[in-house]
Amino acid sequence: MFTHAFLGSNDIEKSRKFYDSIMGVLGYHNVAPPEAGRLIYAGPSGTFIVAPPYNGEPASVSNGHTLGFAAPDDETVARWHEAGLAAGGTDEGAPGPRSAAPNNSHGAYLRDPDGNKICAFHMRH
Amino acid sequence: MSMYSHVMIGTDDPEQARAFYDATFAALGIPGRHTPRGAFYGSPETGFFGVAIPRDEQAATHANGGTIGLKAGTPAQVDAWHQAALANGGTCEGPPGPREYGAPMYGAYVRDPVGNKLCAFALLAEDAAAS
Repeated sequence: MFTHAFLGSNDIEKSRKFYDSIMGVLGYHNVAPPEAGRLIYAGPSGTFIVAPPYNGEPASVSNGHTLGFAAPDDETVARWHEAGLAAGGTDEGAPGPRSAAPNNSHGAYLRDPDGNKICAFHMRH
Repeated sequence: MSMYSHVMIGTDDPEQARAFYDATFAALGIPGRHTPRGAFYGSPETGFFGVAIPRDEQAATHANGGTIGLKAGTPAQVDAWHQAALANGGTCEGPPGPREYGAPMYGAYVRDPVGNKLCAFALLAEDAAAS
């Protein structure tokens, strides 16, 4: 359903530290060269880009927006959350089952260094 | 496995959001269902897109720097998606047309009624893009 998602950054080095860590847990690596000033995590089924906004204005967060990454198992969800907290993220919900998710799937929530809300879910369908 | 499990977006007006997203996801051939606070689209195989009143009950806002890219099967679906968006409270952020993002693609950009930036892209076959 998704080709890619963008999130805005006001400090790409802070974002690099954070996203290199949590995307690495999920098996994705930044493929953009350091001088690109942006981060591109490319997988066989989707791309995730973190960059300063094109319009030159500061990046700001959306209220209501959450970007959910797929994790292969519950243990990876927990490692993802731990890695995020150690790399400049803040807790928005500890790893565990979520009653609103299909079949009480395990998920965990973080805010990135810019305040964007993200989560990782091992979906049990 | 898709990179994304799901994407949520906020709305202050579920009825308006359902009208916009029912029409735009129908153009992409993606089914949905309504929920008390909004709607969901997609399936376990593809991932889900959800629109809902924010959990904190504060106003829904859009980001600067955030974009959600949706997959279309064909350029005609991209055209239909863009048209459906404009007819249902969306605004144009880039008309449908070919774009070169590492691979030949055909895409279009809109903002939903809250201002969230969305795009839909179809991957073009190399020979079709060259013609």
